[in-house]
Amino acid sequence: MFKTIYVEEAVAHHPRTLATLARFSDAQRIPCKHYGEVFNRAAQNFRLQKRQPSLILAEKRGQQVLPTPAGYGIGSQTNFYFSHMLNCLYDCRYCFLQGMYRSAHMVVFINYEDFYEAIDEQIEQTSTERPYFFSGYDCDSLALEGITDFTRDFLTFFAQRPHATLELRTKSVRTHSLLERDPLDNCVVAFSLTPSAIADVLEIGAPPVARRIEALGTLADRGWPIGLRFDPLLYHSKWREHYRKLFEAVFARLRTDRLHSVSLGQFRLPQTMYKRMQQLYPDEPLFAWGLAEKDGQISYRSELAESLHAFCRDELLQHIDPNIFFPCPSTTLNDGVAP
Amino acid sequence: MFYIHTALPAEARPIIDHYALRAHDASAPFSLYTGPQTRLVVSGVGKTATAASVAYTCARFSDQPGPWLNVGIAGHKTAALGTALWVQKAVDTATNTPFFPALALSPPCAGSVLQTVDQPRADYLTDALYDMEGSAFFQTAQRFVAAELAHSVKIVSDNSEAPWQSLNRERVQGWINDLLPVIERMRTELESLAAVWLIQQANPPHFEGTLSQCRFSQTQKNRLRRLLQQWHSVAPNTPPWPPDHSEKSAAGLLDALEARLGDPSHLPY
Repeated sequence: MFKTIYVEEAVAHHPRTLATLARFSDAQRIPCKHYGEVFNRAAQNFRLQKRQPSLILAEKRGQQVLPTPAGYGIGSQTNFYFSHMLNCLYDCRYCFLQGMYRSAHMVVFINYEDFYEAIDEQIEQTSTERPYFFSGYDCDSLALEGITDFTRDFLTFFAQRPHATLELRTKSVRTHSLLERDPLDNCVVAFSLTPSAIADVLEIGAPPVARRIEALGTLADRGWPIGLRFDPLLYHSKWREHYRKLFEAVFARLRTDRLHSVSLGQFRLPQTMYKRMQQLYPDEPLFAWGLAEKDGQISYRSELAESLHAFCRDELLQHIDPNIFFPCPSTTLNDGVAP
Repeated sequence: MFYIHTALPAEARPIIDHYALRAHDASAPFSLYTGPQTRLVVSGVGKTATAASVAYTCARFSDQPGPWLNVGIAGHKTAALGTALWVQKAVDTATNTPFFPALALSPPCAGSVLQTVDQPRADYLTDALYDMEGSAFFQTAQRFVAAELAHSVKIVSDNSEAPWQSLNRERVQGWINDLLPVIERMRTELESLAAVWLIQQANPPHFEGTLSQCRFSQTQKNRLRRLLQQWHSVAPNTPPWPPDHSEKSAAGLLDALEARLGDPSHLPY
């Protein structure tokens, strides 16, 4: 899978580094002082690297846990995110990571204990309500589980902190690390879903949507709280029909008593990221049609965004309790706040 | 076009013969050889000559950009003579600055860190390759092409038991001959990557023709390039403006194209 592994000198002898290297005994190992020497270097081409990404084992320094942007949440006002990885195994054409990072190599921060400490600090400082910790903002939470043991380790940690909630955001169907243990009420497994017709074209390398639906259904059957993330909403031919069928397929399989939250998000990108992505994929129609800039964000023109959002919201609310519906903030909908 | 850099004529000769290259221009400041799909430049020894030769070649053939490969001999503390090694990282020892070839291909052979030194030396302080050009090659080539398109392969010519003073031209040519399969493999992979890179660099259809119709400011040229790329991605077989359009100004052409791009009939997917 990985033919080359860059290793920060500071973590070269860390047990997780050694375990990972043992899994890839044939891979070439390249030392570096700081992962940024490789990952942040100028003149790199994300699209080219995505054909054969390397692995970078590094230490996360500085702030391990950060507050989420205002308005992002699934029921709490106290929300944080953290990233034990940078970049994703999949190659979704709409993903902002390809506009945010210069490199497509996958960075794994192996100092989990520092993340634990930072999470505990935030929990201690949060006295009024349940804090939420989101994983999967800069990566897929489950896709590299076979290498990182991320869920195995972090679920053990969160099992001892029932007053804090962890969200695992994923498109992966590698759920055995969850299925082999008892469910945690304070861990939401949130699946990103897109109609198959568009996912088949734009979510390169990700499991088929039908398999994701089966995976989330199985997890719900086993008692895991499930999140549904229809983000980004993508405008395409027959979008009404495709989104209706997607919702029907999900709710035909999912035990809704284990449904924790549902969110909708517009296709949105900071303008700088959009420009980089368009330069990487000048031949990509997704970046060519129906978009407009507002307040430094690129999104669908407001009339398209409104119709897409309103339709999906109305369809979803036929299936779910409005109290678990959390639309993401938008620059194109009703003065920035999704209805 | 595939570009190869060597420091020494003896390193170049087997490659020139293999690809049937011909001397390109006797008046050029560096020895240049060319073939239908390959160019080779011989710089002479050292970082300055390397940087100058790569920059010169890139500038001279700027209309035919392509991937670069540095090929040459190098010392190594422990590796056996004749060992082929792909350069994983080049360190300019004068400044301790590392240069990483950005990796988007499978390593073609075993790899090593490369130390680029200013003077020949035989003390081989670390278990790495030693040469006098590598860091300058990366530093320069990555200015002209994506960092994924500049790589280096070395063959071990001297080590702690066989010092560089015993080298001769025949041995160097023999080792480079042995390296040709690795060069060929890298060429195949790099050309595949370069094909994608060239798509990113290319002007879209109708760009040059539209620029000749009226005067565009630089900002308008950038917008035209972007809009034509977008148009080509959603309507690849349709002219960007209808045959009977009456737009005469750059601003009018751009606005008309932007409006046409939003037409629901061009909705992708």
